[in-house]
Amino acid sequence: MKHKIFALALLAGIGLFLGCTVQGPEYVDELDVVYSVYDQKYDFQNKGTYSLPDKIVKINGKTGDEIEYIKNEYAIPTLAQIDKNMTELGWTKVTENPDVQILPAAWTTTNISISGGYWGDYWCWWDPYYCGGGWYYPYPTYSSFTTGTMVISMVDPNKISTDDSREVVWFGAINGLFQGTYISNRINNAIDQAFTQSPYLNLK
Amino acid sequence: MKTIMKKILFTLLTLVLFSTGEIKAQNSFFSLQYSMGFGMGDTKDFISPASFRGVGLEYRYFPEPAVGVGFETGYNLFYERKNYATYTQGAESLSGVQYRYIHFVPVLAAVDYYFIPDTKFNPFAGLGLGTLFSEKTIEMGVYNNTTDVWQFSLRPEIGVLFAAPGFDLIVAGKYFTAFKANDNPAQNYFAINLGILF
Repeated sequence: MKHKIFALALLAGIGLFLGCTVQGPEYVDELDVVYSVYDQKYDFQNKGTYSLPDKIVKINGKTGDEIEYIKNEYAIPTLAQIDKNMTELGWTKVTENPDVQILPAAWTTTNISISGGYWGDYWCWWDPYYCGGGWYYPYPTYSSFTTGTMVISMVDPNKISTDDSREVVWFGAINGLFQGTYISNRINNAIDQAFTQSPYLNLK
Repeated sequence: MKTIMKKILFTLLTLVLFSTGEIKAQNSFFSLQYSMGFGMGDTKDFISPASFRGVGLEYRYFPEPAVGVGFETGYNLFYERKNYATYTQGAESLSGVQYRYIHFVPVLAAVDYYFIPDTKFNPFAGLGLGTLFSEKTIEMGVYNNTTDVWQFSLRPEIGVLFAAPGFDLIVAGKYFTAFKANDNPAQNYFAINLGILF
């Protein structure tokens, strides 16, 4: 009997110990993830100018006139942070004939794949090329993102494929920003991180 | 993985409740053990801290006083939180806090040699052969990547059986190694098990 009690006590101890789940994320910012990918054959060092829209579109599965934009209170500081990083890396912002176009978007659906590039339509208001146009990725990348992701695509408007698509030479994705508590510092930090982990964009 | 843990605990509970309570080390024994794991090689590269969440279950039958044959299974959970860092592979970079987990479940046939049978202090050496199931998970943000694999496994072991007042105990050091298979790296960990015989 003593033997069985000891065994049961040991078993109970093991059960309690195993039952204590290991520690997961405690704070929402621990869920923030920054992803980037680029075309390793692309010569960034021979480029120097970029353009940036004054709005951030929502990728929500709608096209044409139903395009939505994120609120200016969020868009303006986000676009300013992108400008700040590009300037610090030695790029010059222009409004015409840029070497690359930077197209930021907020992902509000999980049902769209980034491949195929049809969501180029979302910038039809900004650049007529994107009305029905698209782009392509010369490298493997994640095919879809969850709600709460901001994606930043850098497109070379002069690098056109045989099917009339433009190449995305750099792609960044920031996940976790639009869930939980909104903290602008987290967005700025994540944008900074996207450029920091992409040293090939540095022209200096 | 919690389902596997529940099954193991249920099996152990059943064995304890329906055992006779008599020490039967001379013919056969079941053993219930607490297990601590220490990653080695690729396992340690993936998760550095030791595992203090583990359990072992063994059965041995003695065809000869100095020879025990049987089986064993168990469970060890390795876990580590990796601070915010950037991971780059080729053209891709990913930054964030990572949570890493490995669940190990060995299922082995075993044979032991006992150096001083029928004494109160009986050291032994053994070898296990079978398979090691591992479930390796990386959580990053809201994403996670999990790999399940069964790998051929060897497990050398040394230990000792000894009689405490009222019950028999076992202390053993086990080195689990699972061989590389296809894209799955080798897995190695050392476990210290402390348990009771019944």
